[in-house]
Amino acid sequence: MKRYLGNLDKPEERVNRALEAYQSLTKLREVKPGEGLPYKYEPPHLPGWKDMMIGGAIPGLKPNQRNPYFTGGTAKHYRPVINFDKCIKCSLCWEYCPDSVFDVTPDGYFNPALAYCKGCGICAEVCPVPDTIIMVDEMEFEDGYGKFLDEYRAWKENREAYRKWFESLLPKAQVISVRKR
Amino acid sequence: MSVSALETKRLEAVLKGDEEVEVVGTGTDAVAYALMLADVDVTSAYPIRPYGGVMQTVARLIADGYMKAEYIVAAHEHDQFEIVKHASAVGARTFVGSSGVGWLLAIEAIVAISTDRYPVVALIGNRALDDPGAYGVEHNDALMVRDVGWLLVWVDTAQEALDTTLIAYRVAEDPRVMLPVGISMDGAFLTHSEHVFKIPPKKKVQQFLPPYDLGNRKLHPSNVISVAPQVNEDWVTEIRKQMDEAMKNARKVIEEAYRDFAKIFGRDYGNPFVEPYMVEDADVVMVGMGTVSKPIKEAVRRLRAKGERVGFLRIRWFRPFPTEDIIRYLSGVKVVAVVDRDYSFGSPFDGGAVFTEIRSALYETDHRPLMMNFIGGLGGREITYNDAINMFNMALEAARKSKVEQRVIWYGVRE
Amino acid sequence: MTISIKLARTVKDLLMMAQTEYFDSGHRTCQGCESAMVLRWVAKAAGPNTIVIGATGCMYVANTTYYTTAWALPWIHTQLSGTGSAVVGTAAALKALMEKGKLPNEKINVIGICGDLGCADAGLSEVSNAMTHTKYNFLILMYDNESSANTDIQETTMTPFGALTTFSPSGKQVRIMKYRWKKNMAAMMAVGHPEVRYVATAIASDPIDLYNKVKKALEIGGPTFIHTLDPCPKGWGYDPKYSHEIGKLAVETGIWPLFEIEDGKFRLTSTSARIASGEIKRKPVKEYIRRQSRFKHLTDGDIEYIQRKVDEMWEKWLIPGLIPLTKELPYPEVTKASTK
Repeated sequence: MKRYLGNLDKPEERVNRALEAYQSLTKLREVKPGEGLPYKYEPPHLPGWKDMMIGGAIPGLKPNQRNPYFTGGTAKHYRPVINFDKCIKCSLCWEYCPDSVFDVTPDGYFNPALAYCKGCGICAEVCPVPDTIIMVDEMEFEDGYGKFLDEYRAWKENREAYRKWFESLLPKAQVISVRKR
Repeated sequence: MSVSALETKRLEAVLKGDEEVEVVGTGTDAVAYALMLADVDVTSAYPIRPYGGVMQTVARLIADGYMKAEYIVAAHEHDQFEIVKHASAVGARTFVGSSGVGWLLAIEAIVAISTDRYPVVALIGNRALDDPGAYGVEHNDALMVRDVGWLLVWVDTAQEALDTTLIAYRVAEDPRVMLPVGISMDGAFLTHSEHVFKIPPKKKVQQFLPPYDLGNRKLHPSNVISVAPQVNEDWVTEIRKQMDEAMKNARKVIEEAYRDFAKIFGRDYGNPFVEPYMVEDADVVMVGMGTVSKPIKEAVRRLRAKGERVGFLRIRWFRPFPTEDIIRYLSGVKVVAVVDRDYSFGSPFDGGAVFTEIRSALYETDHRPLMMNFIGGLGGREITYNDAINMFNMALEAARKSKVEQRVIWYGVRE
Repeated sequence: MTISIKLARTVKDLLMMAQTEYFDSGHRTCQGCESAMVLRWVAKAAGPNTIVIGATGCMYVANTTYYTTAWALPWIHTQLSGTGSAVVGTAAALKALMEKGKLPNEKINVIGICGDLGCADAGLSEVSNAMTHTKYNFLILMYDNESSANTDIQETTMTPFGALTTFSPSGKQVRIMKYRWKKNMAAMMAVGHPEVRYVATAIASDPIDLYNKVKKALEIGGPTFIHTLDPCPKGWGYDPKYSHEIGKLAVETGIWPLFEIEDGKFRLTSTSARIASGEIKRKPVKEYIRRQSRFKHLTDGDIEYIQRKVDEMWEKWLIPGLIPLTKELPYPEVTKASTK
């Protein structure tokens, strides 16, 4: 297989793609009722015409306020997991994130708001330090789409546990662009 | 070209004094003076006849310093209407207008103005639609927007044009309404003919017309809102319902505005929505919009002199439609004959738009009249009082026979 | 006259100067959307005293979704072709209201954002008209993802030669349906409207350059124009994680020259300036083209043609990126002959 792909145009990328596709298939498993996060569907309360502003106008956001009604984080297949121990605070992830996901922490780290992360992987691509931002398959997690996960806080609270967790995820990380390594 | 010395004196009198001043001018001049008095902030121009005259006069008023407004010459009509829509969004009082195909080119922006609820006032110098190109009056251009939340009013004289423009701002900007108004004016017959009319003093206009206030919808860095974001089916019905309610409110607001207008300016138009002319005890009532009233009124006078019981009802506000007034004046009449300066191909009974709407309004009445429809005066063809007499005679015959032989008549069409 | 504003030189500058988000998370753009990046940095550069007008396009549909918004700036929708009109109307109204004392007198930025379809195709006459209204201050920003990306990736005039779109597929009979060469919008705006004081091209993969250009455009006054090239993973056919890299390649291969024209002075900027000075060598366009599936049907011959066109732009044009006339103009000879 590898040899076949190797003869085509863009061989490395094709091999990587094939590997990714294979990995994602081997991870599939049957989901049984009762698994996952407890969730109760609450139908949203929509205002009536008398309560809405006229002319299709709605209140805007405040600076640095994320859209509270639409997150988009369910779009991701891969999630960025950050090794804060190796972070050199270069800010490139913050700079290049199209979804403004990274919060600047008081000590200068960059903490992703996973509820809003669509998982494009640009941050992992632009990160200059290998294995500092890794993209891990959402299938590895059972916490929704990371809605309630605060990686920076987890790291602050228990660096050792966080490091172990990170290292357990490292082998499962998506293969980052080969040219960079 | 500068304003003549005489005009200078008169304009200064209305801008500074307390008395109204009589002048001679065209229907579009009258609207331009109203814009000066209403202190319009932004206006956008693009040449097309017959509406264009108003912008020429406005340009002159600005150049000579009688009016202070941003005068923007647009790239085309769509540009024109988008410009005023966005000027209105930040809190500027705006004026715009067009005619015929120009009005239609702008229709995307025209609809967005009403759905975004901006109280733009527009002049529609009614003109036949292309093809073939024609300058003359037809009402189909304005009627194209009858369903999308524009208030539509037809005026008959230059004085009425001036007064209605002031009333239009008052109605459009009322928080209960917040919808645009289209003032329709028959091309050539009113836009380009000279009339004697009175310009009221600006002091009284300020008394009549409060400043334009968008409230919490004003687009400004101090009021961060998003206007017209993409919606789905969860929201559209509610947004349309708000417009429905605003249009219904407009009836009351229009009544109030005319009442105040009469109080402040001393000119009373009576019923704001329709102008009845000798309709009491009439067996036959002709209905029409715009300048067709002149020959028809003359015909009414002549036929009345001969003892015929005929009358005329001029519809002023077409949107909101004066349902109650139509029922009040027309139910119980023997024959109602509607003169349509428009067409609506393939409509019920293949009649004109006004005919169809009046018929619909009268459906609920106990005494439904017989109905006739004259499609006439298309492309600016003149309807004379002799034509009107002919139409009345046909309607009178139907009244005598209690039967309408031919419901829709293309009046004067060459066989 | 040069303008004196604080510009960013390094990534750290950006972090210091532009940490506040005015176009924030919670929009419905695709993964790796570079147009969202552009909007984010434009909003940062503009700051809070700004009114934003968004024309129909993917950035309308995506960034205000289902009656929600991602904007912390006053924002309003305009019709597909309405950007030029909307900015003029807004700026004119602000001017009128401030002059009449109906609004406090202050500097408010007006930014109209439109896509390639809304700006270069449908709204060209409005935008061109707007560019002549020199008494009003506004910026028109054209985010160019080289297709009508919101409606299923259809061809626009800004789609590059040969690219696959749903309107220009490659088939057995017609291999290349998009045979037209892309319009040069920034050049058209600059050359066709000589009173305009600032026109620039930019790209989101160079945010420092983009940020500075937006700052300058808003500072200099009058009508200004910025054209950004926005890699679009969905429309161009590449993994979203490469958005930044594809953008960089567009500049490095010379396909997308970064320049600015300030008060009539043309200047290549950033990577493009380094290419022009010979500091770095232009990469072959193949590196850019072969990374995207929209070009997968192109033969080596096609790519050579594109390379030739790009070479021509850099080597033969009167001003690379701006004026597509070669230096061998006929008129000097004619003049010589007639004077003899």
